[in-house]
Amino acid sequence: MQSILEWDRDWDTYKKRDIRLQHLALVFGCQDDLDIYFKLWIIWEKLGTTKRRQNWCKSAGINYNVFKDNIEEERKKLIGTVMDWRKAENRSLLIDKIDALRVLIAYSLRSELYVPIEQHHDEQELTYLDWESYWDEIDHYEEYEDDFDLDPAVTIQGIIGTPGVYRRMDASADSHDDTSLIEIIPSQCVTDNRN
Amino acid sequence: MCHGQPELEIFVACQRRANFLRPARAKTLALNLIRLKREWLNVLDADLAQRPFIYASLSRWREHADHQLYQLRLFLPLLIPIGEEVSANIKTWDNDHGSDVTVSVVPGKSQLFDTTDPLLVSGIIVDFDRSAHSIKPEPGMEIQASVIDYQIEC
Repeated sequence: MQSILEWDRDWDTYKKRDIRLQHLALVFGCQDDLDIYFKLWIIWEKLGTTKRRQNWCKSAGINYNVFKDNIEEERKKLIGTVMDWRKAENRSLLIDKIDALRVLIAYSLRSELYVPIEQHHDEQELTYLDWESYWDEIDHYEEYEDDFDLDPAVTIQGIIGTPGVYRRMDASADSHDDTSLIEIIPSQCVTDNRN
Repeated sequence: MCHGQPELEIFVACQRRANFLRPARAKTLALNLIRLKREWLNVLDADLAQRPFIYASLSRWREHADHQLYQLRLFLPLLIPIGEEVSANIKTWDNDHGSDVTVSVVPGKSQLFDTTDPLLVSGIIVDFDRSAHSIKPEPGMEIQASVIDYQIEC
């Protein structure tokens, strides 16, 4: 998501305000990232032609190339592997199925279910990590090799306050295993500063 | 996670990264989160025969109006963007405590909805230009309003 929503520090104030409002309109009403992806895809699909999609991307602060390569092409590949080629299957997304999809994903990724750490009975007071501790076990956590660039001013302040710490649901509360803890980042509010 | 939404209770983290944010309290960062309701977790114990019923209860067995409301919540800023003039019907009027109105949204023109039936959303008048209206506002009266912001009722 951080690469789909465009942001450029060199834009003038008017452009920044305009794009910011467009991004807020995109995230409005969304309860999680699935809602945002659903919304983006519905708009993309309804626009139909390349020209209309490019115009929308330009006005809404969406990176057209990233969307096309990372979402459209990936979706095509994914569906291509599972679809029945004997039938002309080209189904549109349906809002009716979105909660069922959430449950299906939860079932498929049952080891990735998390709850707030405060929900555990013996609440553990977490201190901030030392700088050095960021660097160990990197190989274990770094699942993707692409650059990951954040603007903390956008991601943290003003949206969710202090990021929350969550524990894997099946981990015991007295476990000191670091791998069961995560901090959250609202990826829909993340901006890409590489452009 | 998104502004205007209640705190995260249970979620699936579809993506994890090393946490380089400072200050950090966990070594791992979660992205692409999917919010869950606690009652949905019974799917984890359900067998192959029960799971389709759970999925159906959340999709095609649910009221169509619920799905339409969900869609309206997502697309409202695109249907009536900030700054757009809309017709609003006054529900209640209170000079001191603000006024409630109903706004009829026609989704057909956006092509985002399959329905063309008008959908009703509630609104609050935060600033009323008295000079533009010679009559005292009363419930049932149609007024023109400009959209300045949105809010989700919890």
